[in-house]
Amino acid sequence: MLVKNNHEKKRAVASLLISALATGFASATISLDIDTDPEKRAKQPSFYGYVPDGGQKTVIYSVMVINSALLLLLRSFSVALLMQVKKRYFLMYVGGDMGIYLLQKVLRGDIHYWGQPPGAFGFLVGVLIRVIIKVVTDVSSLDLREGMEVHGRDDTCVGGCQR
Amino acid sequence: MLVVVAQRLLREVSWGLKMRVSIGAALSMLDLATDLAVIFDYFGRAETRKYGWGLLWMVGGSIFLQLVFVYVQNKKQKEGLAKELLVVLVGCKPAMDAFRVVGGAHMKEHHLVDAKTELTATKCIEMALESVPGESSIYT
Repeated sequence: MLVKNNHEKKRAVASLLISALATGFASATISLDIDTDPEKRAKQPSFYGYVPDGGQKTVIYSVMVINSALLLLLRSFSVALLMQVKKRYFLMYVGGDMGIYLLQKVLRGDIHYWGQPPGAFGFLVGVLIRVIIKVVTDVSSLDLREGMEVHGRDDTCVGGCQR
Repeated sequence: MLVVVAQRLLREVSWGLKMRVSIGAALSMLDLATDLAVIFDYFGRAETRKYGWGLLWMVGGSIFLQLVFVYVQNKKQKEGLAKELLVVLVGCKPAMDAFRVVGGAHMKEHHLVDAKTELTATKCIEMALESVPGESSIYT
């Protein structure tokens, strides 16, 4: 919105689209790899397997890329609108969402799920990993549905509903 | 047994993986380049300079976390560590990760995680700290 020069505008739009596409590709690739992992499918056949093994795999993958890219564009646009109205609204929204999420993860003892060392350092690393994964899963279709990976029982909250 | 057969079959038909990983790596590097171009534009005018700083901090944070991850991954063998860190600093980490996954690189003894997990972790860091804040910042 602040970009006035036409050349700068083109570069900004190109950056937006490439960022969205890169995120779409990355999250769809990770989700596909998780779902088609033979070990995961062997252990939990009723949970993994939404991507069919036949020719439809490419179609599903393409839709996942588009879905992630569009979701990122939509979320970023809504965040930008919030910031334009009042920065405090944006901070309240992000802080509230992330704060409640981290609080329930701490209370449930899920912070050490990702295999980090025990103690205060491991706790901080766990919080950092949780923040990164929540940001990514909220704005893309990255599929981390299993147990304590992202939401668990919290799957009805904002991020869970979007996915 | 069934898992081993399935894994072998998937390895044989890895063209899909090669394509996905290669395009993903190219897009990641292009994303970094366009983000840097936008930062450069933002610094050009006083009213957008604060957004330039914001974006620069996020891109810097992404590179910093990738450096930390690479250090932890390779700290037990110092020989190749400098090269790995340099790859991150010049923005070629996505290409390096893709090359390893496509080439079927085996996990070395000193590594913390395998090549595919390393690629996933790097992508997550990039998405959370570079792509997502970059989108919001450019929209704003």
